[in-house]
Amino acid sequence: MKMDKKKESTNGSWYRNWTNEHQAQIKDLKYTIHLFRQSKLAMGGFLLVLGVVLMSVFAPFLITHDPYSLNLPERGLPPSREHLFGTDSNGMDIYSRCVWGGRIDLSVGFIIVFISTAVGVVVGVTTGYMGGIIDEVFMRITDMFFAIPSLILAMAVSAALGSRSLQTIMFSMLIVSWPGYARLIRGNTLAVREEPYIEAAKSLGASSLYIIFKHVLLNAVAPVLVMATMDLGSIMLLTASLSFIGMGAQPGTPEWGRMIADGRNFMRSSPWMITFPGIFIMISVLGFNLLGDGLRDVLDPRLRR
Amino acid sequence: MSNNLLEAVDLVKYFPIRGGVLSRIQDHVRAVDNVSMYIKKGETVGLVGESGCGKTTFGRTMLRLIEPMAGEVNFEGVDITSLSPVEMRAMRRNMQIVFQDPVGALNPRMTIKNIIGEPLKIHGLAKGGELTERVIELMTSVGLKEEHLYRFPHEFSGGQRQRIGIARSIALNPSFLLLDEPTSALDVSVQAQILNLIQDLQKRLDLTYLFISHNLAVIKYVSDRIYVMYLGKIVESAESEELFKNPHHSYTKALLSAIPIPDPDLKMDDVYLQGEVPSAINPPKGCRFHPRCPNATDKCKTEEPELVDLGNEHYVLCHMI
Amino acid sequence: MSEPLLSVKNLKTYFYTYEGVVKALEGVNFKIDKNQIIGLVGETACGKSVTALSIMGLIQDPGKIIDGEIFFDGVNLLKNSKDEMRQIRGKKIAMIFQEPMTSINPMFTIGNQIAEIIMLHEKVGKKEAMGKALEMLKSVKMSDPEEVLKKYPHEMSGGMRQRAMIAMALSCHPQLLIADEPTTFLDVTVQAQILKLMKELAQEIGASVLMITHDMGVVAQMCDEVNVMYAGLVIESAKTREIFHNPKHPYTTGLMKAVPKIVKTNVKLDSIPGTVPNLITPPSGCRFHPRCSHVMDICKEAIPKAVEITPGHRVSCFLYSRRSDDV
Repeated sequence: MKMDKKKESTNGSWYRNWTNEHQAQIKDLKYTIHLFRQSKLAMGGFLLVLGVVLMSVFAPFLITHDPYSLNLPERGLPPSREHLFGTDSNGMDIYSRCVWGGRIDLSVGFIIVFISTAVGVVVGVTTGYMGGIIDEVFMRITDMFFAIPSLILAMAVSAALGSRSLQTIMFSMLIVSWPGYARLIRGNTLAVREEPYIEAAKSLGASSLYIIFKHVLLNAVAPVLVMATMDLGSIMLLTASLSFIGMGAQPGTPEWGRMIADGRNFMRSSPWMITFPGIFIMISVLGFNLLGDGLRDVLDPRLRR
Repeated sequence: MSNNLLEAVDLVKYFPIRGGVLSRIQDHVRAVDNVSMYIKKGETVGLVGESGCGKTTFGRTMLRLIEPMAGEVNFEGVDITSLSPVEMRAMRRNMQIVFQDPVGALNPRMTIKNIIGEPLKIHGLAKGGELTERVIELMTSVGLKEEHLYRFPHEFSGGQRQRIGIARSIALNPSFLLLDEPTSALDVSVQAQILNLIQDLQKRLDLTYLFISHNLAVIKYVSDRIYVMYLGKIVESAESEELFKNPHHSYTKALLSAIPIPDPDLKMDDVYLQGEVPSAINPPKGCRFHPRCPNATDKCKTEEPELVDLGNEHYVLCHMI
Repeated sequence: MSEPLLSVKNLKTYFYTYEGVVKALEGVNFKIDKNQIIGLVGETACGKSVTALSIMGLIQDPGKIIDGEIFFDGVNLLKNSKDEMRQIRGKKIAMIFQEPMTSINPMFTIGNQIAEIIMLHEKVGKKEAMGKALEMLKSVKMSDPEEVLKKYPHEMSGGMRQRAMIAMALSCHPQLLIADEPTTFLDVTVQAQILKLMKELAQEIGASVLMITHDMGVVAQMCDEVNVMYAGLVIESAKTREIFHNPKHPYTTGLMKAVPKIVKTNVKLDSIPGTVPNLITPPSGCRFHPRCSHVMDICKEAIPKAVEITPGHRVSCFLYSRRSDDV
């Protein structure tokens, strides 16, 4: 059966081949988007998130002043045409710092969620599928993580590492977040594992590793996507909280939580210093939560069709 | 040397039941209790029984999809229960399975091409254009069209999905196929199509079948020899015609009389079996069928019966022969 | 000839889904007389369950009954309000389903559930209702009925659950029992018991039964008359003997030949080529025509109307009628 290996691609452009192969997935995606559009809250969340992301991406074009440079003579000014949100105790323009802060908060959020999800998913799906002793041990380990509130644990890890920098905080938040995803996907894995097509794959002679990553993973991952989206909001809040108490972003960094900490002493006299960063935190977290909610409803197999 | 392709010798499978605080093993479900069976090359052997009798577990154990606790399974003389995982994976190319549930047996996220081509990929037998060619070949041999290549399982009817499952199971050119209630979930007219296809493939590809079903009419239609199973044991086995003409075991007789005959002029006999199938956790002592048997004696309540050879490959597990 | 108990005329039920309009029922016609067991036979997507739900008034969004009449005991059910239908459900028309595990509430004991239905329709107190529930369990030959009253559904086997469901359905002595594939998930030996039970009880109470099934054997043993459905229409109806020995519609004939029989051996199973049509874009004219070996030009243009070829035997097929025929 020596056929021309290029037969597939010579039948048409690679684009057409790709769309053919993924035709039904495209149709599925269109249906998902249609369902998504129908939920006003989900669309609202999506727009909020989109707004924050775009703002962060185009930050260099949107800022009016350098977010890092000190400008002591202009400190403590209320909002005006020159400084849209006023200036802080160092004379830095709050508007520019809020806009630039998006880059920091969003990237911290995305990095942490991405890495902890990846680690959590791999560990969870493997232990869930293998079962037995491996699973028991894993469950007990994650139990330990869950016994301690995440904020405290993150602080403890940072303290143990002896540094308060943003990088250290990010690392400790990673440690704290991955067990959640692992347990979540493990639960789903237990169900997917019993599906007939898994048995079918075994009967074809597939190894466990193959089955886990080819068959189980994609079918078990849906709730993780929902949780990850909502976690983007929580991680941002956590970052801001840690910065607020002095861990994480160092003074001067235009990170929203840090900005609130810096402006805390001037709450009465110059409330704009904490109000605007606070609003940005609120909008971002709200956006991700609504988005996550909407995503969960849309991905729920029972509500489809 | 026998011409048995596949042989099960005294297979045993119990499932532990855990309970209590420390999840201790409290008892066992005696799903398969010392079952032996032989299947000759080119034959179709039928395995019939009601729910809970252990036929599904037995089929899976034969293929080592469930690990047997005791006993042997010989494929062309080789005891597959003693093979290493790597050897077993290679052995699987010879023995494939067609599942009952056409919906669940196919990964909903995979295209038909990937589903049917998967066994070839796993064993490194083909790739790229060659793989596609082979997949199309398999599809046409089961009555599917090339245009179905990139579709998803949910776009097909039950019968077509079963065809996909069958195409996948013959991709590796196996010599033995376990058919686990392949038509039970299908409509009558579709069932007829699939049964015809299965018989057709057997002739063309020189296959040997073990056909599991609870439907006696279907079993009779496809099988050369039939085994009747009850509560983890084989109670009777014989050639098709012989079993229906000359059933000896009371359970077989009851089963035959309970099938609703699709002919309004032939009214069913009144041999209604009383009671429900008992649980396999604590099967009755002695002959497992004795609580429901109209001919039970004291011996039946205490002693387990031996297999009686009636000649002509007809065996019965009963004291009263 | 007295009035039929149930008369379904030109019933049309459509489902308005994202993918399009599913024309599930396209004008279903049949009737059920008093004290009869009528079979409704067909394969997947033929509309038999939808018909049952339409009669019970249980069609929900995105489904809608858009045309037709359902006369029960002289009243057109489709003109009833929701409250009026609730009065009828359980009391005059009862239904049992194929999956007893999912259609009985797992949170309550069997006794409670039967008693609840009795209390709903008859003005009696709990104690009296429990007493009646016990009577019902005895009449369905449930072993240990007193014990079963206190049991939960998951503690019982499939056969017992089905008996419980029958007890629930018949507790208020309905005039019509709709049984939707009640024995499909039961073992053969249990099925035989349940069918025998249903027949006896129906006779005792004086109820009619609409037996929905795909099993021709069940039809042959239970039903007085049979309606064969295909893709949302009744394409043939006759007395049971007639359907089996003298099928007229090509689909019915095909169906009879496709059933494996124990008595006749080595007869090759004839299958009907093709598959059941998509009801969003059904074939034009007669919905069976793409699979029919006797197809003619006219079959692609119009849906044949039912014609009575012998008394009591009706077929919807252009082999037996002309376009101008009207019944």
